[in-house]
Amino acid sequence: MFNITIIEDDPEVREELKILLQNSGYKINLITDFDNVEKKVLESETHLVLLDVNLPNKNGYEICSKIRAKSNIPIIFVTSRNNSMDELNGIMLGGDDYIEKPYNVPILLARIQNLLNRTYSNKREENNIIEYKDIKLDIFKSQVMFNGKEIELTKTELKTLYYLFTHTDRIIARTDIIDFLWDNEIYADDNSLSVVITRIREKLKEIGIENLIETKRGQGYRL
Amino acid sequence: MSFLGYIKDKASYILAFIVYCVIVIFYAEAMQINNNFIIVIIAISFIFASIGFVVNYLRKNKYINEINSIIDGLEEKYLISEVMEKPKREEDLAYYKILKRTNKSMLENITKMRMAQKDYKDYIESWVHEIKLPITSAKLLCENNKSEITNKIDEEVEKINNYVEQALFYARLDQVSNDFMIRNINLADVVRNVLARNKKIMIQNNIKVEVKDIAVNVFSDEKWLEFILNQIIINSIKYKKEQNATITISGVENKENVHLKIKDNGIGIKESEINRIFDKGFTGTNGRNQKKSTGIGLYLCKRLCEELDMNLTAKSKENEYTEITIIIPRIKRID
Repeated sequence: MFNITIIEDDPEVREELKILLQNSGYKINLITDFDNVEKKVLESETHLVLLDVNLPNKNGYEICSKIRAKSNIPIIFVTSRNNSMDELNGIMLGGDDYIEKPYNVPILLARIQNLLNRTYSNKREENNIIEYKDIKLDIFKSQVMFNGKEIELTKTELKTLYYLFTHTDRIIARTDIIDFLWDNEIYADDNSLSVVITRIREKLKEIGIENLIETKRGQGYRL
Repeated sequence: MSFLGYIKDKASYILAFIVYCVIVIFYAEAMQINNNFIIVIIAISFIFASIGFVVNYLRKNKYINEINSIIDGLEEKYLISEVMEKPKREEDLAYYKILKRTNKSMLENITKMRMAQKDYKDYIESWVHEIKLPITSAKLLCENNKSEITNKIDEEVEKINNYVEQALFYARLDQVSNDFMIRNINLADVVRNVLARNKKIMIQNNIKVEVKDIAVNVFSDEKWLEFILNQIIINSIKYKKEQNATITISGVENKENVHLKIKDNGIGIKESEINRIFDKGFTGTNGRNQKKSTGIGLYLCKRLCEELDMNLTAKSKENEYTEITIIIPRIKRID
Protein backbone atom coordinates (compact mmCIF):
# COMPACT_ATOMS: atom_id res chain seq x y z
CA MET A 1 0.00 0.00 0.00
CA PHE A 2 1.31 3.42 -0.89
CA ASN A 3 1.95 5.99 1.77
CA ILE A 4 1.22 9.65 1.03
CA THR A 5 2.39 12.59 3.12
CA ILE A 6 0.06 15.59 3.30
CA ILE A 7 1.62 18.94 4.11
CA GLU A 8 -1.28 21.37 4.44
CA ASP A 9 -1.93 24.08 7.00
CA ASP A 10 -5.71 24.39 6.78
CA PRO A 11 -7.03 21.85 9.30
CA GLU A 12 -10.40 21.24 7.59
CA VAL A 13 -8.84 20.64 4.20
CA ARG A 14 -6.17 18.47 5.77
CA GLU A 15 -8.65 16.22 7.57
CA GLU A 16 -10.98 15.83 4.61
CA LEU A 17 -8.12 15.19 2.24
CA LYS A 18 -6.87 12.52 4.58
CA ILE A 19 -10.28 10.82 4.60
CA LEU A 20 -10.56 11.07 0.83
CA LEU A 21 -7.19 9.49 0.21
CA GLN A 22 -7.73 6.82 2.86
CA ASN A 23 -11.02 5.93 1.15
CA SER A 24 -9.07 5.58 -2.06
CA GLY A 25 -6.77 3.05 -0.44
CA TYR A 26 -3.73 5.05 0.59
CA LYS A 27 -1.99 5.26 3.92
CA ILE A 28 -1.66 8.81 5.12
CA ASN A 29 1.10 10.57 6.95
CA LEU A 30 -0.03 13.97 8.24
CA ILE A 31 2.33 16.79 9.06
CA THR A 32 0.79 19.40 11.32
CA ASP A 33 3.86 21.12 12.69
CA PHE A 34 5.86 22.84 10.02
CA ASP A 35 9.28 23.06 11.65
CA ASN A 36 11.82 20.92 9.90
CA VAL A 37 9.27 19.58 7.46
CA GLU A 38 11.91 18.27 5.07
CA LYS A 39 13.50 16.21 7.82
CA LYS A 40 10.14 14.70 8.76
CA VAL A 41 9.44 13.79 5.16
CA LEU A 42 12.83 12.25 4.61
CA GLU A 43 12.60 10.19 7.79
CA SER A 44 9.15 8.83 6.99
CA GLU A 45 8.79 6.01 4.51
CA THR A 46 6.46 7.93 2.28
CA HIS A 47 5.94 7.35 -1.44
CA LEU A 48 4.55 10.73 -2.45
CA VAL A 49 4.22 14.22 -0.98
CA LEU A 50 1.28 16.57 -1.41
CA LEU A 51 2.79 19.92 -0.62
CA ASP A 52 0.85 23.13 -0.04
CA VAL A 53 2.69 26.16 -1.36
CA ASN A 54 1.58 28.61 1.32
CA LEU A 55 2.40 27.47 4.81
CA PRO A 56 2.59 29.64 7.93
CA ASN A 57 5.97 31.41 7.82
CA LYS A 58 7.14 28.91 5.25
CA ASN A 59 7.18 28.49 1.56
CA GLY A 60 6.44 25.18 -0.10
CA TYR A 61 8.99 25.84 -2.82
CA GLU A 62 11.80 26.07 -0.27
CA ILE A 63 10.72 22.85 1.37
CA CYS A 64 10.59 21.21 -2.04
CA SER A 65 14.11 22.18 -2.96
CA LYS A 66 15.38 21.04 0.41
CA ILE A 67 13.75 17.64 -0.06
CA ARG A 68 15.02 17.49 -3.63
CA ALA A 69 18.58 18.02 -2.42
CA LYS A 70 18.39 14.64 -0.74
CA SER A 71 15.64 12.60 -2.35
CA ASN A 72 13.75 11.99 -5.58
CA ILE A 73 10.44 11.28 -3.93
CA PRO A 74 7.51 12.47 -6.08
CA ILE A 75 6.15 15.85 -5.01
CA ILE A 76 2.83 17.35 -6.08
CA PHE A 77 2.35 21.03 -5.35
CA VAL A 78 -1.07 22.11 -4.21
CA THR A 79 -2.11 25.72 -4.19
CA SER A 80 -5.08 28.01 -4.42
CA ARG A 81 -3.11 30.68 -6.22
CA ASN A 82 -3.43 30.01 -9.84
CA ASN A 83 -1.03 32.03 -11.80
CA SER A 84 1.46 30.90 -14.35
CA MET A 85 4.52 32.07 -12.47
CA ASP A 86 3.65 29.92 -9.48
CA GLU A 87 3.29 26.89 -11.66
CA LEU A 88 6.59 27.56 -13.36
CA ASN A 89 8.26 28.07 -10.00
CA GLY A 90 6.93 24.76 -8.75
CA ILE A 91 8.15 22.82 -11.75
CA MET A 92 11.54 24.54 -11.83
CA LEU A 93 12.18 23.71 -8.20
CA GLY A 94 11.66 20.02 -8.77
CA GLY A 95 7.94 19.51 -8.26
CA ASP A 96 6.52 16.68 -10.34
CA ASP A 97 3.05 18.09 -10.74
CA TYR A 98 0.93 21.04 -9.81
CA ILE A 99 -2.69 20.98 -8.71
CA GLU A 100 -5.02 23.84 -7.94
CA LYS A 101 -7.49 24.18 -5.16
CA PRO A 102 -10.31 23.45 -5.10
CA TYR A 103 -9.24 20.00 -6.21
CA ASN A 104 -11.28 18.27 -8.72
CA VAL A 105 -11.37 14.89 -7.01
CA PRO A 106 -11.10 12.64 -10.10
CA ILE A 107 -8.23 14.75 -11.45
CA LEU A 108 -6.43 14.74 -8.11
CA LEU A 109 -6.72 10.98 -7.74
CA ALA A 110 -5.71 10.35 -11.33
CA ARG A 111 -2.60 12.49 -11.03
CA ILE A 112 -1.57 10.79 -7.80
CA GLN A 113 -2.12 7.39 -9.36
CA ASN A 114 -0.19 8.32 -12.51
CA LEU A 115 2.75 9.65 -10.60
CA LEU A 116 2.88 6.62 -8.35
CA ASN A 117 2.67 4.26 -11.32
CA ARG A 118 5.39 6.12 -13.12
CA THR A 119 7.70 6.15 -10.13
CA TYR A 120 7.07 2.71 -8.68
CA SER A 121 6.00 0.74 -11.73
CA ASN A 122 7.83 -2.39 -10.58
CA LYS A 123 5.90 -2.43 -7.31
CA ARG A 124 2.49 -2.78 -8.88
CA GLU A 125 0.24 -4.98 -6.87
CA GLU A 126 -0.26 -8.46 -8.22
CA ASN A 127 -3.90 -8.91 -7.37
CA ASN A 128 -5.14 -8.98 -10.93
CA ILE A 129 -7.87 -11.61 -10.78
CA ILE A 130 -11.23 -11.07 -9.12
CA GLU A 131 -13.60 -13.94 -8.53
CA TYR A 132 -17.34 -14.06 -8.09
CA LYS A 133 -19.29 -17.35 -8.05
CA ASP A 134 -16.59 -19.25 -9.99
CA ILE A 135 -16.44 -16.51 -12.58
CA LYS A 136 -12.95 -15.06 -12.87
CA LEU A 137 -12.18 -11.58 -14.13
CA ASP A 138 -8.58 -11.08 -15.22
CA ILE A 139 -7.86 -7.37 -15.22
CA PHE A 140 -4.47 -7.44 -16.95
CA LYS A 141 -5.61 -9.73 -19.74
CA SER A 142 -9.04 -8.11 -19.92
CA GLN A 143 -10.77 -11.50 -19.95
CA VAL A 144 -13.62 -13.33 -18.24
CA MET A 145 -13.06 -16.99 -17.48
CA PHE A 146 -15.71 -19.59 -16.59
CA ASN A 147 -15.63 -23.40 -16.80
CA GLY A 148 -12.36 -23.37 -18.73
CA LYS A 149 -13.75 -21.05 -21.36
CA GLU A 150 -12.69 -17.47 -21.75
CA ILE A 151 -13.71 -14.37 -23.63
CA GLU A 152 -12.01 -11.02 -24.30
CA LEU A 153 -13.51 -7.76 -23.11
CA THR A 154 -13.10 -4.23 -24.35
CA LYS A 155 -11.83 -1.60 -21.95
CA THR A 156 -15.29 -0.23 -21.20
CA GLU A 157 -16.75 -3.70 -20.70
CA LEU A 158 -13.88 -4.59 -18.38
CA LYS A 159 -14.34 -1.46 -16.30
CA THR A 160 -18.08 -2.02 -16.02
CA LEU A 161 -17.68 -5.64 -14.95
CA TYR A 162 -14.89 -4.70 -12.58
CA TYR A 163 -17.18 -2.22 -10.87
CA LEU A 164 -19.98 -4.78 -10.61
CA PHE A 165 -17.58 -7.45 -9.29
CA THR A 166 -16.21 -5.15 -6.61
CA HIS A 167 -19.64 -3.96 -5.44
CA THR A 168 -21.56 -7.20 -5.06
CA ASP A 169 -23.26 -6.32 -1.82
CA ARG A 170 -25.88 -3.92 -3.10
CA ILE A 171 -27.87 -2.57 -6.02
CA ILE A 172 -25.66 -0.30 -8.03
CA ALA A 173 -27.15 2.89 -9.38
CA ARG A 174 -26.64 3.46 -13.09
CA THR A 175 -25.08 6.86 -12.41
CA ASP A 176 -22.49 5.23 -10.12
CA ILE A 177 -21.30 3.01 -12.97
CA ILE A 178 -21.30 5.93 -15.40
CA ASP A 179 -19.35 7.95 -12.85
CA PHE A 180 -16.80 5.16 -12.64
CA LEU A 181 -16.58 4.70 -16.42
CA TRP A 182 -15.99 8.37 -17.12
CA ASP A 183 -12.35 8.98 -17.61
CA ASN A 184 -9.95 10.62 -19.97
CA GLU A 185 -11.19 8.88 -23.07
CA ILE A 186 -14.58 7.45 -22.29
CA TYR A 187 -17.44 9.85 -21.71
CA ALA A 188 -20.23 7.48 -20.81
CA ASP A 189 -23.88 8.36 -20.67
CA ASP A 190 -27.08 6.53 -19.90
CA ASN A 191 -27.58 5.09 -23.40
CA SER A 192 -24.02 3.93 -23.80
CA LEU A 193 -24.21 2.15 -20.45
CA SER A 194 -27.26 0.18 -21.64
CA VAL A 195 -25.37 -0.77 -24.78
CA VAL A 196 -22.34 -1.91 -22.78
CA ILE A 197 -24.47 -4.01 -20.43
CA THR A 198 -26.22 -5.67 -23.38
CA ARG A 199 -22.87 -6.49 -24.99
CA ILE A 200 -21.48 -7.89 -21.75
CA ARG A 201 -24.55 -10.13 -21.37
CA GLU A 202 -24.10 -11.44 -24.90
CA LYS A 203 -20.43 -12.19 -24.31
CA LEU A 204 -21.13 -13.90 -21.00
CA LYS A 205 -23.79 -16.01 -22.71
CA GLU A 206 -21.17 -17.23 -25.21
CA ILE A 207 -19.18 -18.84 -22.40
CA GLY A 208 -22.26 -20.15 -20.67
CA ILE A 209 -23.03 -17.54 -18.05
CA GLU A 210 -26.64 -16.42 -17.99
CA ASN A 211 -28.61 -14.08 -15.80
CA LEU A 212 -25.53 -12.84 -14.01
CA ILE A 213 -26.42 -9.20 -14.18
CA GLU A 214 -29.86 -8.47 -12.91
CA THR A 215 -31.66 -5.27 -13.92
CA LYS A 216 -33.46 -3.46 -11.12
CA ARG A 217 -35.98 -1.29 -12.82
CA GLY A 218 -35.54 2.38 -11.97
CA GLN A 219 -32.67 1.59 -9.62
CA GLY A 220 -29.77 0.04 -11.44
CA TYR A 221 -28.01 -3.31 -11.61
CA ARG A 222 -27.06 -6.10 -9.28
CA LEU A 223 -24.98 -9.24 -9.64
CA MET B 1 -6.37 74.61 -39.44
CA SER B 2 -8.45 75.98 -42.29
CA PHE B 3 -7.47 79.20 -44.04
CA LEU B 4 -10.98 80.62 -43.74
CA GLY B 5 -10.99 80.01 -40.01
CA TYR B 6 -7.59 81.62 -39.77
CA ILE B 7 -8.87 84.73 -41.56
CA LYS B 8 -11.81 84.89 -39.15
CA ASP B 9 -9.37 84.71 -36.22
CA LYS B 10 -7.42 87.57 -37.72
CA ALA B 11 -10.50 89.76 -38.35
CA SER B 12 -9.10 92.48 -36.09
CA TYR B 13 -5.95 92.73 -38.25
CA ILE B 14 -8.05 93.03 -41.37
CA LEU B 15 -10.18 95.68 -39.74
CA ALA B 16 -7.01 97.55 -38.72
CA PHE B 17 -5.79 97.35 -42.34
CA ILE B 18 -9.05 98.79 -43.64
CA VAL B 19 -8.89 101.61 -41.09
CA TYR B 20 -5.30 102.20 -42.21
CA CYS B 21 -6.41 102.40 -45.85
CA VAL B 22 -9.23 104.85 -44.98
CA ILE B 23 -6.81 107.07 -43.03
CA VAL B 24 -4.33 106.99 -45.93
CA ILE B 25 -7.08 107.96 -48.40
CA PHE B 26 -8.36 110.81 -46.21
CA TYR B 27 -4.84 112.03 -45.58
CA ALA B 28 -4.03 111.89 -49.29
CA GLU B 29 -7.24 113.73 -50.15
CA ALA B 30 -6.44 116.43 -47.58
CA MET B 31 -2.90 116.79 -48.93
CA GLN B 32 -4.27 116.74 -52.52
CA ILE B 33 -1.97 113.91 -53.56
CA ASN B 34 -2.46 112.29 -56.94
CA ASN B 35 -5.10 109.52 -56.90
CA ASN B 36 -2.87 107.13 -58.81
CA PHE B 37 -0.24 107.47 -56.13
CA ILE B 38 -2.77 106.58 -53.45
CA ILE B 39 -3.79 103.47 -55.36
CA VAL B 40 -0.17 102.41 -55.67
CA ILE B 41 0.47 102.96 -51.95
CA ILE B 42 -2.63 100.98 -50.96
CA ALA B 43 -1.89 98.23 -53.48
CA ILE B 44 1.67 97.83 -52.21
CA SER B 45 0.45 97.81 -48.61
CA PHE B 46 -2.16 95.24 -49.54
CA ILE B 47 0.34 93.00 -51.25
CA PHE B 48 2.77 93.09 -48.33
CA ALA B 49 0.02 92.56 -45.77
CA SER B 50 -1.34 89.59 -47.75
CA ILE B 51 2.07 88.00 -48.12
CA GLY B 52 2.68 88.38 -44.40
CA PHE B 53 -0.74 86.96 -43.76
CA VAL B 54 -0.30 83.89 -45.95
CA VAL B 55 3.26 83.20 -44.82
CA ASN B 56 2.20 83.41 -41.26
CA TYR B 57 -0.68 81.06 -41.94
CA LEU B 58 1.54 78.54 -43.70
CA ARG B 59 4.10 78.63 -40.91
CA LYS B 60 1.54 78.08 -38.19
CA ASN B 61 -0.23 75.42 -40.17
CA LYS B 62 3.02 73.57 -40.72
CA TYR B 63 3.84 73.75 -37.02
CA ILE B 64 0.45 72.36 -36.03
CA ASN B 65 0.69 69.61 -38.64
CA GLU B 66 4.08 68.62 -37.29
CA ILE B 67 2.71 68.27 -33.78
CA ASN B 68 -0.26 66.32 -35.10
CA SER B 69 1.93 63.87 -36.93
CA ILE B 70 3.97 63.29 -33.77
CA ILE B 71 0.73 62.59 -31.93
CA ASP B 72 -0.37 60.17 -34.63
CA GLY B 73 2.80 58.19 -34.09
CA LEU B 74 2.36 58.09 -30.34
CA GLU B 75 0.75 55.13 -28.63
CA GLU B 76 -0.16 57.23 -25.62
CA LYS B 77 -1.20 60.54 -27.11
CA TYR B 78 -1.22 62.38 -23.82
CA LEU B 79 2.55 62.19 -23.67
CA ILE B 80 2.84 64.78 -26.46
CA SER B 81 4.20 67.54 -24.24
CA GLU B 82 7.05 65.24 -23.21
CA VAL B 83 7.93 64.41 -26.77
CA MET B 84 7.46 67.64 -28.73
CA GLU B 85 10.23 70.18 -29.10
CA LYS B 86 10.14 73.23 -26.93
CA PRO B 87 8.76 76.01 -29.15
CA LYS B 88 10.79 79.18 -29.78
CA ARG B 89 7.99 81.69 -30.33
CA GLU B 90 6.65 83.39 -27.23
CA GLU B 91 2.98 82.62 -27.87
CA ASP B 92 3.60 78.93 -28.61
CA LEU B 93 5.79 78.74 -25.56
CA ALA B 94 2.94 79.97 -23.39
CA TYR B 95 0.62 77.29 -24.76
CA TYR B 96 3.37 74.71 -24.40
CA LYS B 97 3.70 75.53 -20.73
CA ILE B 98 -0.05 75.21 -20.20
CA LEU B 99 0.01 71.83 -21.93
CA LYS B 100 2.86 70.71 -19.72
CA ARG B 101 1.01 71.68 -16.59
CA THR B 102 -2.20 69.91 -17.52
CA ASN B 103 -0.28 66.84 -18.60
CA LYS B 104 1.60 66.67 -15.37
CA SER B 105 -1.58 66.82 -13.38
CA MET B 106 -3.16 64.14 -15.56
CA LEU B 107 -0.18 61.83 -15.30
CA GLU B 108 -0.37 62.11 -11.53
CA ASN B 109 -4.01 61.18 -11.69
CA ILE B 110 -3.38 58.24 -13.96
CA THR B 111 -0.67 56.95 -11.67
CA LYS B 112 -3.01 57.26 -8.74
CA MET B 113 -5.74 55.36 -10.58
CA ARG B 114 -3.33 52.66 -11.67
CA MET B 115 -2.16 52.18 -8.13
CA ALA B 116 -5.75 51.98 -6.92
CA GLN B 117 -6.58 49.49 -9.64
CA LYS B 118 -3.56 47.35 -8.90
CA ASP B 119 -4.41 47.50 -5.24
CA TYR B 120 -7.92 46.31 -5.97
CA LYS B 121 -6.70 43.58 -8.26
CA ASP B 122 -4.26 42.38 -5.61
CA TYR B 123 -7.12 42.34 -3.15
CA ILE B 124 -9.27 40.26 -5.49
CA GLU B 125 -6.39 37.85 -6.06
CA SER B 126 -5.87 37.33 -2.35
CA TRP B 127 -9.60 37.17 -1.72
CA VAL B 128 -9.93 34.44 -4.32
CA HIS B 129 -7.02 32.67 -2.72
CA GLU B 130 -8.73 32.83 0.69
CA ILE B 131 -12.18 31.78 -0.44
CA LYS B 132 -10.81 28.77 -2.28
CA LEU B 133 -9.88 27.18 1.02
CA PRO B 134 -13.45 26.84 2.34
CA ILE B 135 -14.58 25.86 -1.15
CA THR B 136 -11.96 23.12 -1.16
CA SER B 137 -12.98 21.75 2.20
CA ALA B 138 -16.68 21.94 1.32
CA LYS B 139 -16.05 19.96 -1.86
CA LEU B 140 -13.98 17.38 -0.01
CA LEU B 141 -16.68 17.10 2.65
CA CYS B 142 -19.24 16.35 -0.08
CA GLU B 143 -16.93 13.81 -1.68
CA ASN B 144 -16.28 12.05 1.62
CA ASN B 145 -19.94 11.93 2.60
CA LYS B 146 -21.65 10.98 -0.63
CA SER B 147 -25.40 11.18 -0.65
CA GLU B 148 -28.07 12.70 -2.80
CA ILE B 149 -27.95 15.87 -0.75
CA THR B 150 -24.18 16.30 -0.78
CA ASN B 151 -24.21 15.71 -4.52
CA LYS B 152 -26.53 18.67 -4.86
CA ILE B 153 -24.47 20.75 -2.46
CA ASP B 154 -21.41 19.86 -4.47
CA GLU B 155 -23.07 21.17 -7.63
CA GLU B 156 -23.90 24.42 -5.89
CA VAL B 157 -20.38 24.76 -4.52
CA GLU B 158 -19.07 24.19 -8.02
CA LYS B 159 -21.23 27.10 -9.17
CA ILE B 160 -19.74 29.29 -6.45
CA ASN B 161 -16.32 28.20 -7.58
CA ASN B 162 -17.15 29.18 -11.11
CA TYR B 163 -18.30 32.65 -10.09
CA VAL B 164 -15.15 33.08 -8.04
CA GLU B 165 -13.06 32.21 -11.07
CA GLN B 166 -14.98 34.69 -13.17
CA ALA B 167 -14.12 37.41 -10.67
CA LEU B 168 -10.48 36.42 -10.75
CA PHE B 169 -10.18 36.48 -14.51
CA TYR B 170 -12.18 39.68 -14.69
CA ALA B 171 -9.71 41.34 -12.36
CA ARG B 172 -6.83 40.05 -14.43
CA LEU B 173 -8.12 41.44 -17.67
CA ASP B 174 -6.85 44.95 -17.12
CA GLN B 175 -3.32 44.06 -16.19
CA VAL B 176 -2.42 43.18 -19.70
CA SER B 177 0.07 40.44 -20.50
CA ASN B 178 1.27 39.86 -16.97
CA ASP B 179 -0.68 36.86 -15.93
CA PHE B 180 -0.61 34.59 -18.89
CA MET B 181 2.12 32.54 -20.40
CA ILE B 182 1.83 31.44 -24.00
CA ARG B 183 3.22 27.96 -24.36
CA ASN B 184 2.94 25.02 -26.64
CA ILE B 185 0.15 23.01 -25.06
CA ASN B 186 -1.85 19.96 -25.94
CA LEU B 187 -5.47 20.75 -26.65
CA ALA B 188 -6.57 17.29 -25.56
CA ASP B 189 -5.30 17.94 -22.01
CA VAL B 190 -7.30 21.14 -21.76
CA VAL B 191 -10.50 19.50 -23.01
CA ARG B 192 -9.96 16.55 -20.68
CA ASN B 193 -9.56 18.80 -17.64
CA VAL B 194 -12.66 20.81 -18.42
CA LEU B 195 -14.74 17.67 -18.95
CA ALA B 196 -13.43 16.20 -15.71
CA ARG B 197 -14.46 19.37 -13.92
CA ASN B 198 -18.00 19.04 -15.21
CA LYS B 199 -18.22 15.29 -14.95
CA LYS B 200 -20.67 15.19 -12.09
CA ILE B 201 -23.16 17.68 -13.47
CA MET B 202 -23.01 16.05 -16.90
CA ILE B 203 -23.72 12.60 -15.53
CA GLN B 204 -26.50 13.93 -13.32
CA ASN B 205 -28.11 15.57 -16.34
CA ASN B 206 -27.43 12.60 -18.59
CA ILE B 207 -25.53 14.61 -21.15
CA LYS B 208 -23.79 12.74 -23.91
CA VAL B 209 -20.28 13.93 -24.72
CA GLU B 210 -18.50 13.30 -27.98
CA VAL B 211 -14.89 14.27 -28.47
CA LYS B 212 -12.94 14.01 -31.70
CA ASP B 213 -9.75 15.23 -33.37
CA ILE B 214 -8.42 17.27 -30.51
CA ALA B 215 -4.97 15.67 -30.19
CA VAL B 216 -3.22 18.76 -31.52
CA ASN B 217 -0.79 21.24 -30.06
CA VAL B 218 -1.60 24.92 -29.90
CA PHE B 219 0.03 28.06 -28.57
CA SER B 220 -1.95 29.45 -25.69
CA ASP B 221 -2.13 29.78 -21.94
CA GLU B 222 -3.45 26.57 -20.46
CA LYS B 223 -5.32 28.15 -17.54
CA TRP B 224 -6.94 30.87 -19.57
CA LEU B 225 -8.00 28.48 -22.28
CA GLU B 226 -9.36 26.10 -19.68
CA PHE B 227 -11.37 28.91 -18.14
CA ILE B 228 -12.78 29.94 -21.52
CA LEU B 229 -13.69 26.41 -22.53
CA ASN B 230 -15.25 25.81 -19.14
CA GLN B 231 -17.52 28.85 -19.49
CA ILE B 232 -18.68 27.60 -22.87
CA ILE B 233 -19.36 24.07 -21.63
CA ILE B 234 -21.23 25.45 -18.62
CA ASN B 235 -23.44 27.42 -20.98
CA SER B 236 -24.10 24.31 -23.06
CA ILE B 237 -25.17 22.50 -19.91
CA LYS B 238 -27.27 25.40 -18.68
CA TYR B 239 -29.16 25.82 -21.94
CA LYS B 240 -29.65 22.17 -22.84
CA LYS B 241 -32.90 20.58 -23.88
CA GLU B 242 -34.53 18.10 -21.56
CA GLN B 243 -34.10 15.08 -23.83
CA ASN B 244 -31.00 13.62 -25.52
CA ALA B 245 -28.66 16.45 -24.68
CA THR B 246 -25.37 16.07 -26.52
CA ILE B 247 -22.21 18.15 -26.55
CA THR B 248 -19.73 17.58 -29.33
CA ILE B 249 -16.20 18.90 -29.05
CA SER B 250 -14.09 18.72 -32.16
CA GLY B 251 -10.96 20.24 -33.59
CA VAL B 252 -10.41 21.35 -37.17
CA GLU B 253 -6.89 22.39 -38.00
CA ASN B 254 -5.52 24.50 -40.78
CA LYS B 255 -2.02 25.80 -41.35
CA GLU B 256 -2.14 28.58 -38.80
CA ASN B 257 -4.98 27.81 -36.43
CA VAL B 258 -7.02 25.15 -34.75
CA HIS B 259 -10.76 25.72 -34.71
CA LEU B 260 -12.06 24.15 -31.55
CA LYS B 261 -15.79 23.70 -32.00
CA ILE B 262 -18.17 23.15 -29.13
CA LYS B 263 -21.56 22.22 -30.46
CA ASP B 264 -24.63 21.38 -28.45
CA ASN B 265 -28.18 20.45 -29.40
CA GLY B 266 -29.67 22.80 -26.84
CA ILE B 267 -32.29 25.50 -26.98
CA GLY B 268 -30.16 27.73 -29.20
CA ILE B 269 -30.04 31.49 -29.53
CA LYS B 270 -32.49 33.77 -31.34
CA GLU B 271 -31.12 35.07 -34.62
CA SER B 272 -31.75 38.64 -33.51
CA GLU B 273 -29.61 38.09 -30.43
CA ILE B 274 -26.66 36.11 -31.71
CA ASN B 275 -24.58 39.16 -32.52
CA ARG B 276 -24.87 40.49 -29.02
CA ILE B 277 -24.06 37.41 -26.93
CA PHE B 278 -20.46 38.54 -26.38
CA ASP B 279 -21.55 41.98 -25.19
CA LYS B 280 -21.05 42.84 -21.58
CA GLY B 281 -24.21 42.48 -19.54
CA PHE B 282 -26.23 40.99 -22.39
CA THR B 283 -28.49 38.27 -21.05
CA GLY B 284 -30.89 37.63 -23.91
CA THR B 285 -34.19 35.80 -23.78
CA ASN B 286 -32.61 32.56 -22.59
CA GLY B 287 -30.71 34.20 -19.79
CA ARG B 288 -33.75 36.08 -18.60
CA ASN B 289 -35.94 32.99 -18.72
CA GLN B 290 -33.53 31.04 -16.56
CA LYS B 291 -32.96 34.05 -14.31
CA LYS B 292 -29.40 33.05 -13.62
CA SER B 293 -27.44 34.85 -16.23
CA THR B 294 -25.19 37.78 -15.48
CA GLY B 295 -24.06 38.46 -19.03
CA ILE B 296 -20.46 38.32 -17.93
CA GLY B 297 -19.27 34.82 -18.88
CA LEU B 298 -19.14 35.09 -22.67
CA TYR B 299 -18.05 38.72 -22.57
CA LEU B 300 -15.13 37.70 -20.42
CA CYS B 301 -14.29 34.83 -22.79
CA LYS B 302 -14.21 37.18 -25.75
CA ARG B 303 -11.95 39.64 -23.96
CA LEU B 304 -9.59 36.91 -22.76
CA CYS B 305 -9.46 35.52 -26.29
CA GLU B 306 -8.44 38.91 -27.63
CA GLU B 307 -5.57 39.08 -25.14
CA LEU B 308 -4.35 35.66 -26.19
CA ASP B 309 -4.56 36.37 -29.91
CA MET B 310 -7.45 33.95 -30.24
CA ASN B 311 -10.88 34.46 -31.65
CA LEU B 312 -14.35 33.44 -30.60
CA THR B 313 -17.35 33.06 -32.88
CA ALA B 314 -20.87 31.72 -32.50
CA LYS B 315 -23.46 30.11 -34.74
CA SER B 316 -26.87 29.01 -33.67
CA LYS B 317 -30.35 28.08 -34.70
CA GLU B 318 -33.13 28.51 -32.20
CA ASN B 319 -34.38 25.21 -30.77
CA GLU B 320 -31.73 23.28 -32.70
CA TYR B 321 -28.14 23.96 -31.81
CA THR B 322 -25.44 26.36 -30.69
CA GLU B 323 -21.90 26.09 -31.95
CA ILE B 324 -19.14 28.16 -30.40
CA THR B 325 -15.77 28.13 -32.14
CA ILE B 326 -12.52 29.08 -30.44
CA ILE B 327 -9.81 29.83 -32.96
CA ILE B 328 -6.43 29.11 -31.41
CA PRO B 329 -3.06 29.80 -33.04
CA ARG B 330 -0.75 26.91 -33.83
CA ILE B 331 2.25 29.17 -34.15
CA LYS B 332 3.64 31.65 -31.69
CA ARG B 333 2.64 35.14 -32.67
CA ILE B 334 2.79 37.09 -29.43
CA ASP B 335 4.98 37.00 -26.36
